[in-house]
Amino acid sequence: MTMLFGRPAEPERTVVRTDLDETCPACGSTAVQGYPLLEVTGWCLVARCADCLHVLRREPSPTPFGFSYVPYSVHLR
Amino acid sequence: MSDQVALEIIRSAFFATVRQAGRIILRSSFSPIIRDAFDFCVTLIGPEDLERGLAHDVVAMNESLAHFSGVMPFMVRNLLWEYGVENLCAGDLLAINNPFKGGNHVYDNGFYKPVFVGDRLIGGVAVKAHLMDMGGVTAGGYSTRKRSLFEEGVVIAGVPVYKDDRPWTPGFNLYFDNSRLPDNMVADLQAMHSACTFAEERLVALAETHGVDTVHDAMAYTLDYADRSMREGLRALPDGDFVGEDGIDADAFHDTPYVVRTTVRKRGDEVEVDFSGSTREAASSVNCSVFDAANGVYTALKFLCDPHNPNNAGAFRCITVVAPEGTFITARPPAATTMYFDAAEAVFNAVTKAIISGAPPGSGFGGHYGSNMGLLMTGSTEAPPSGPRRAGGDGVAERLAAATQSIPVVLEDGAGSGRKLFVAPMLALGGFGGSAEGDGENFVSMSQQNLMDMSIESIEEDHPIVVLRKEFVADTAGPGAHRGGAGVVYDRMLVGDADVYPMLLHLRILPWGADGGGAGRPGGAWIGEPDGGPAAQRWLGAADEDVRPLGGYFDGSGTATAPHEGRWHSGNADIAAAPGTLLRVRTPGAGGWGAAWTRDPEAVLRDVRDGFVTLDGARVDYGVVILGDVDEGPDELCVDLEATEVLRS
Repeated sequence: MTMLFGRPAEPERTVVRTDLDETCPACGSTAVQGYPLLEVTGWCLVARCADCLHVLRREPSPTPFGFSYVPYSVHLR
Repeated sequence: MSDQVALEIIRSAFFATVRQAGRIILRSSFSPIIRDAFDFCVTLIGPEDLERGLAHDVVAMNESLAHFSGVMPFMVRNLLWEYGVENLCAGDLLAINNPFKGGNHVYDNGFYKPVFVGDRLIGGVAVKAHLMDMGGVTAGGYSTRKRSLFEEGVVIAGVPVYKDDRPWTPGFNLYFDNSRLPDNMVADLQAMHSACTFAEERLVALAETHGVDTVHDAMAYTLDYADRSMREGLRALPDGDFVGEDGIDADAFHDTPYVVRTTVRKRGDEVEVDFSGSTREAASSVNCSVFDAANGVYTALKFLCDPHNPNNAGAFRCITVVAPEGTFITARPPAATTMYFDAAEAVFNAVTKAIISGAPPGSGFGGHYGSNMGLLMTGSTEAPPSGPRRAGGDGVAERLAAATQSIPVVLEDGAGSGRKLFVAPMLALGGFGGSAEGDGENFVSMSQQNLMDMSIESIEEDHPIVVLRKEFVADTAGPGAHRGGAGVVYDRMLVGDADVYPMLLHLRILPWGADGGGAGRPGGAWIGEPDGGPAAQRWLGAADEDVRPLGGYFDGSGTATAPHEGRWHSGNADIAAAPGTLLRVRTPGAGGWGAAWTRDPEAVLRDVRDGFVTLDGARVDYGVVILGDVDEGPDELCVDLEATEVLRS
């Protein structure tokens, strides 16, 4: 549950991309990375090729609000 | 599958429906910021029909405020996820204004109405509009100094305001009891319901005429149509990784810049925009949510790649956003987001700069003026009603005021204290950048807005404010073969006590020039304090040197200078202003396109005659020598071709 009042300590924020030991089936590149992504349909985690942007896998976020903000209303579900 | 002709007819009907519903809001809302400033939108929403690829998508949207176009898909899905589709009933109108669930700020209130045929949910209608006061610490809302969402106003997420198409009192009371301007709320909420009901009736009529399945086929077709159109535009751009940067000047408590860093990765007909490296959340209300950042991306790419096809969520399928949470453009609750539009505008600028950096030579364009340079003026006055229309009886004055004024609103308490509350958010318009097509426009709204400027007469009629000056400023446009739009100066003088909340957030960064064109000239804000003498006379003759810098970069004499060439003044401090106080804002000029010294001398002559360029400016910025006297004989000015050729050689 996130309900933050303080600002992040780091002056700049960066998305961490995890290198995955996979090959892109679309272009053959081995630059496949895992990271969170916002699509117009909502947040998801993807395995995506950094060279051609092909998405190998997509896992939707459990809530539509992102990965660190979960509204209190989930307690009612 | 339905036939193509039927699908195309229904696609057009979707857009005709939202446009007509938008006109209902324009005609019937009371808040001038909705009706005059176009601070609203109407959207048609699809059902959940996974076989057709539909998941409560925004199928059609009218042309109003672009700040809303990209947040509505998130607002609708988030609302329905929390509220539960199974709990929807015909005749419901659900309200939501939580910025972290639906984007924008708490003053932008969204409403969703489900549409049923029998027991089947066939779609919905969603609208959003700016309601002028939602409580909070500042009347009218606009201030850079609020530290959290809780200071901004009441927060709503999924509360019915209508049930069975009748007003539901507890829902209305959320608005009545938390707003300083409940009179406007009645009409505005009724306008939202009327627009939604009209669109609902049209959607049901389409279903009766063509069948529900055909209407849903048409929704999928409409989304796919926009998707194809956008991808076609994207394919015209070169592939590559491009970077762009923009930002805002400071928050109210930290005088340090907030930077949007973008890396735009474009491959074929897909784009990924990564905001890694952007500055953390701000400590006051200059943040925006990630949905607004996404909208800045969507709007920039739609503007650049597919400006003519009507908007819907299909146009944004090919765009993905990598967003580190906790930056000032991806703020988390309970960060304050009142000034979300300046942060979102910085996103638009950063993405646009990145795309332009990779575009073919000559295809760029100059940056727009970049900041509303807002001043919220609010307070109460004992001044008696100022005009004859004030004698029109209870409520008539407000309705008449609403019919003639723009953003400002007033509330009179004639039966009580006799005082008049006024809330006047004074925003500024400015220029757009030049391009290969021609000079930039001179007096327009920013890229994600459709604001119209308020009339001077109504401002003076309804508020203790006198507008002394509103005019273009010579030599402010970014020079170029095609120059940018000119800066605009506004002089507004208070004739009563007021709290003034400056919102000056984009003066460290100049509007960019493109393809050899010059950057726009810097803007600035000044304040003149009264000395007990006749104030208006004094201010009418006051140069920038005669008043005190309020926001921007200034040299020792008080003249606005380019960034880092003078002393910086952060313009976000609240002001307790006395009668006679002058507030001057000057928007930056917009960026030029192409080398200025290749500009057609006749175009420079025209600009000198029209007051956009001075004789000195023509010589220094454009290398054009013009003979004659601008004031005494503007039609007798002429270009000294020989001297111009020498100067330009």
